[in-house]
Amino acid sequence: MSSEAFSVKIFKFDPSIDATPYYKEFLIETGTGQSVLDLLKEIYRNHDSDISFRFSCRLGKCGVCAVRVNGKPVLACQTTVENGDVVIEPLKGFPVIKDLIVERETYRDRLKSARPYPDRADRSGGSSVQKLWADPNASPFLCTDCLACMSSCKALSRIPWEFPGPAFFTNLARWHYHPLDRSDRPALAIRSGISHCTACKSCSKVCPKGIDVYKEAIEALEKKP
Amino acid sequence: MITEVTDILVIGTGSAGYCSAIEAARRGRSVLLADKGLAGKSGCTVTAEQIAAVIPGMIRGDSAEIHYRDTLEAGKGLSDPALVRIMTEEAHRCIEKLERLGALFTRNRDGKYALDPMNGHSYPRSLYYKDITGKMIIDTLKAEAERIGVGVMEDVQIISLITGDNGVSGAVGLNFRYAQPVLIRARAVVLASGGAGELFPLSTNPVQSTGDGLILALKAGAVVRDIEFYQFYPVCLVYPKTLSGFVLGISQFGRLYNSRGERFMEKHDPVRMESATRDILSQAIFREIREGQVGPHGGVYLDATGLNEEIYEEYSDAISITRKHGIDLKIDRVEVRPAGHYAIGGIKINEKTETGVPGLFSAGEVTGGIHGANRLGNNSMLDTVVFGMRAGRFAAEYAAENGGEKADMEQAIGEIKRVKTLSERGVRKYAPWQIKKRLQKIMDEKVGIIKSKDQLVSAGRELKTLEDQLREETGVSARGFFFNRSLRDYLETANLLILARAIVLASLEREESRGAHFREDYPDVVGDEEAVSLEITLEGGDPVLQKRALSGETQ
Ligand SMILES: Cc1cc2nc3c(=O)[nH]c(=O)nc-3n(C[C@H](O)[C@H](O)[C@H](O)COP(=O)(O)OP(=O)(O)OC[C@H]3O[C@@H](n4cnc5c(N)ncnc54)[C@H](O)[C@@H]3O)c2cc1C
Ligand code: SF4
Ligand code: SF4
Ligand code: FES
Repeated sequence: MSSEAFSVKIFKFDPSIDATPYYKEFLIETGTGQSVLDLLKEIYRNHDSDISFRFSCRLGKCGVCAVRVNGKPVLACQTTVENGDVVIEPLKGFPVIKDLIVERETYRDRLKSARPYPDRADRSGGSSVQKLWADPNASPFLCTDCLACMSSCKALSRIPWEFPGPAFFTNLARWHYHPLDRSDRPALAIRSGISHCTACKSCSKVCPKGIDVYKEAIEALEKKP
Repeated sequence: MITEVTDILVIGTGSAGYCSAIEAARRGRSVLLADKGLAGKSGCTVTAEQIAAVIPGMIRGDSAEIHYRDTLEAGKGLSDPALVRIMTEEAHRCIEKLERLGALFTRNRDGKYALDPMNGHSYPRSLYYKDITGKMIIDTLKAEAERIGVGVMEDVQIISLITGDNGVSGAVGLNFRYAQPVLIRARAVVLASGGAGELFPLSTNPVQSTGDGLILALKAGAVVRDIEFYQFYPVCLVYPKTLSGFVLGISQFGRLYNSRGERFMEKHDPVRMESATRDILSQAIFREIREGQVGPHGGVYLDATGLNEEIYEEYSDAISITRKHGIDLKIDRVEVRPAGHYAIGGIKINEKTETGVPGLFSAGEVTGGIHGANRLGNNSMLDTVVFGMRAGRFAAEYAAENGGEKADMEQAIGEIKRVKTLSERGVRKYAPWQIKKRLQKIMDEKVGIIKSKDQLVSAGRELKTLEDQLREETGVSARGFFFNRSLRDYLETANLLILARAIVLASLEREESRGAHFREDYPDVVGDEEAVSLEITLEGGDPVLQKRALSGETQ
């Protein structure tokens, strides 16, 4: 292990103290195979105990640790930085609560309008599912709501009030594919502004779960069933 | 201070917590869920891969009765038969309920469930949806809870339950998001706060698994049982760090070597070798680690190269995930070791999920008594669903008739003052994470896979020192409550220390080897007869122990 150091710049903002956000630089010893999450933990432990970030499962399964690393939205726990300078910032397109923690409520409230559950489903019957079962085998079910795709979407950053963003449509697609759901998800997608998508496909490129968001959510919903 | 009033407070948003919240809300009660992280994302549930349940008409010969027997068999005389009976018999109905809410379980063309076999289960009976079954279940429950109007508080860590002559009347929490203490007045409380993987340096659990619920319950006067049984998952990656704790099921087909290149399972289980049971594998690997026969990252080597393609096909997920992180299981040896996986013991409950403290109910991994001395794979998710639903039902019934007393404000204010003082501590000699790290090392070396009297006694002494150091010499460097991670680490470490001492106490008392508890100085594995359950309570902040003979209970 060498004792060289590399620079890690972190976005810091505590609205209760700071007038504006700023970047704080840390010199971290070059290690081997550190994840961005390891870096953040190291900084918390030995450099700045007041740094705020989220993590939980450490295995890429819960989706709460998404941040931007050198501009690209990634899962902190699943992204390795060998050395070379890095800049770590919160996801773009969300208000910052503190440092790397962003506000998810606006997105979630918006999602509520999409009735994010099997809608108009018959919940009374016996094993109604059995009769309906056809393996949806659709990747939107893999979505962890990490919001990485939202951070990469230009349509969302340009007209946030008209376009709810890719994760919204991944979520909608989940119910669209769901065997119990009886509502017209494509119609809801149109009402929600799906036509503003510019088909740039950056959402598909950044999704840590490998979901082809554009194809499996946007296109699927735009196509009439 | 924020004040909330609700009929039922549910602590924890894993499968157990959501199941109780939904069942209680369905009965017309107001329900509030609290989680110290993001809802439905901060526990073990989101990472679970399968759930065991016998569904009538699926596999010829299998039945709830056989599932019941299998579970008791694994529990080695310590499972509460009444609870196991309920779990296995209600399994079918609960799965059906989940499906009606929208959970998907893979089925074959003929409409029957696709079922996987699992060690210790007599028949294939594990349902799944890809490898995201836990996530499928929690996403479904979350959606339903939202649909029916269950309230959720995130970033709220519950730090104490308010108790009085009539039992529990609420809880105090810290809202790290709004930088405020919270007082929640409730007629009934359901503890569903999961396990305590953070006791160990390597764990499969999320970082929130710090055993808080066990300590909350103990402080409220409840009993915690059989906590000396902690399950380890034998073969988990230690490197690359991005995947440390990643479970490698493919190991049963591979070969394990120490740093001298010896295939050490030849010494320990020459017949089954790497497909030996989890306990034997864990013990064997631990012995090599203790003798220093390890690679640069402290693990032994797993060589899973040269296996036949069908096996690689079966483990294609693990192979593709590890490949993304630069290792190819088909070519590379990897460093592995056992990781803390599941708290088998926990809060003692009865069939109604009552804890003995009026108004306090509990379900899920935080409880004990169901899995006895060892847990069968995939029974845990079933446990969370069955008893989660029951907890919601019985808490709702209780809340309809009882409670509503004014919460004891003095208690609440005392608690808030205590944490406020903590948050103003500033820097001291140690940081909380350092204490936690040392605790994990002690647990790993002396209180984990292989235990002995000498080691346990020394661990007990060291833990006591750590506790003193935490109290006197450990700082909380950040101020206030606003996402104050060092305060949170402090509070969690304090809980882990009490829990660790309780585990040492019970492990010392249990002079035998049974299930997941192995004493090197009492290595002979005992039978199910004369099983004694060890019950912990708290007296003046210290864990104390009672024995309870179970021979009359088992059948
Ligand atoms: C990697 C992995 C794989 C697994 N695979 C399987 C499997 O395939 N099959 C199976 O049956 N089991 C499996 N298990 C075990 C199973 O997932 C868990 O036992 C189960 O999910 C526990 O659910 P729970 O609802 O009791 O708790 P959890 O899902 O752990 O939820 C507990 C919640 O409580 C919250 N909490 C804790 N303390 C506090 C506090 N003080 N205040 C507020 N909130 C708090 C936590 O943040 C968390 O969200 C696996 C476990 C792991 C780690
Ligand atoms: S394809 Fe559409 S949804 Fe995806 S990033 Fe581009 S504009 Fe956004
Ligand atoms: S679609 Fe992919 S990137 Fe977007 S929220 Fe879901 S998992 Fe994250
Ligand atoms: S911590 Fe769960 S995905 Fe990174």
